[in-house]
Amino acid sequence: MAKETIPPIQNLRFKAGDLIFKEGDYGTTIYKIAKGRANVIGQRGDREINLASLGPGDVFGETVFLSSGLEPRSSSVRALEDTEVESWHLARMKKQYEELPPVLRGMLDQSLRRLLRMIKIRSRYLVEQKAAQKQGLSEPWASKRRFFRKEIDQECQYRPVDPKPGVPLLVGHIKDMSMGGFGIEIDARNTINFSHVPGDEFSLKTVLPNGNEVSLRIKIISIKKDVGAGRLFMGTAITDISLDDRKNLGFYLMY
Amino acid sequence: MALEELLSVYIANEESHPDNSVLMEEGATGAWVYVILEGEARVTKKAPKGTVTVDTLKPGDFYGEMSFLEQGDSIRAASVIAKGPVRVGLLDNQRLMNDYNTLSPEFRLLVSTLIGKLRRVTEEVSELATETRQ
Repeated sequence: MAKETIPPIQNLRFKAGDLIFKEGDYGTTIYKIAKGRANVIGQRGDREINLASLGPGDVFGETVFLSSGLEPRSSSVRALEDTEVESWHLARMKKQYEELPPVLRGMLDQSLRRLLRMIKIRSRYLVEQKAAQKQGLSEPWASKRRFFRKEIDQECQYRPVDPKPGVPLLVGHIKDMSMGGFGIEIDARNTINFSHVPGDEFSLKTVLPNGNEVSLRIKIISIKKDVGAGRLFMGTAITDISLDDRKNLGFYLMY
Repeated sequence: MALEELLSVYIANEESHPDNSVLMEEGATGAWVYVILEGEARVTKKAPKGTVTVDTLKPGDFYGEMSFLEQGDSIRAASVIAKGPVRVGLLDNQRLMNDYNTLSPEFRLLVSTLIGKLRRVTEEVSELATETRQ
């Protein structure tokens, strides 16, 4: 690659009320306020809301460092009074990142990976929250299935929804999990005394790999018989889950 | 791996801890950085309505690095709890400082801004994850 010239650090002046950058624009600059004040502004419909107030020494536009400038600005920044900023070109910061001493770079990389993951989880939560507000909390499991599916091997206990006295807990192994339902492998002997056909409902309890216990109700959607000697595989859908357990499951499935 | 070899030069001391030991406590002050050498640990964060696991650390992963990278008030953002027995290495702070001192002022400011953002977003996510009622 040809040697790039890195733009120097520049001082820029903005008048009170000027936009320094606009939500939706692409940029390759990170800024530091040298003098003055500015507001971070989000557009909500045709209304502007103030998300943060910035003063001397504050850095903004830093998200371009995470996205390498490939994503548009997520908010606008407007000078609140006559303001002087230092502009740092992304290439300058990337070069310094490339030249970091290795152990520091390892530490920073770990933090950046976590930051990206947390931003992703947050936006999923916010999307989920919005969808839940729109549709009420009960239905939209099926539509979410493929987004959250995770392969695991976790023991679970289950039993028919209306247990007759003396019905023992049955044991199965959850092979995959999603917000929509579980894939569960069971011993074929479980079906000798209890019906296991599509449509049957069970109460199920398991401990997630992160240590949280969840209880919920499932319904058999499909049964596969050829998964190994004496084993069956049930595809199930979640039909009832408390809000607490739903959050626990959701959080586990999100990373 | 190259980083692991390099890391060994930075390790000032090694410690072993049994399962469930609190290796670092959220809210405590401290500036030391550790690296997991053997075993795993959970990173947990308190929210108003409960505690959530936000990460799992494996050998080669650091903890305490946020306080160091911020070079600020050094409040621990999360707790780290051993998941089974672990062996950890304490990093030589002087060596890390020598490295840190090679950074330009603007890069230091960028790093502390990003770490500040990580603290805030992690807090929001923990709240969203534990928010159960309403």
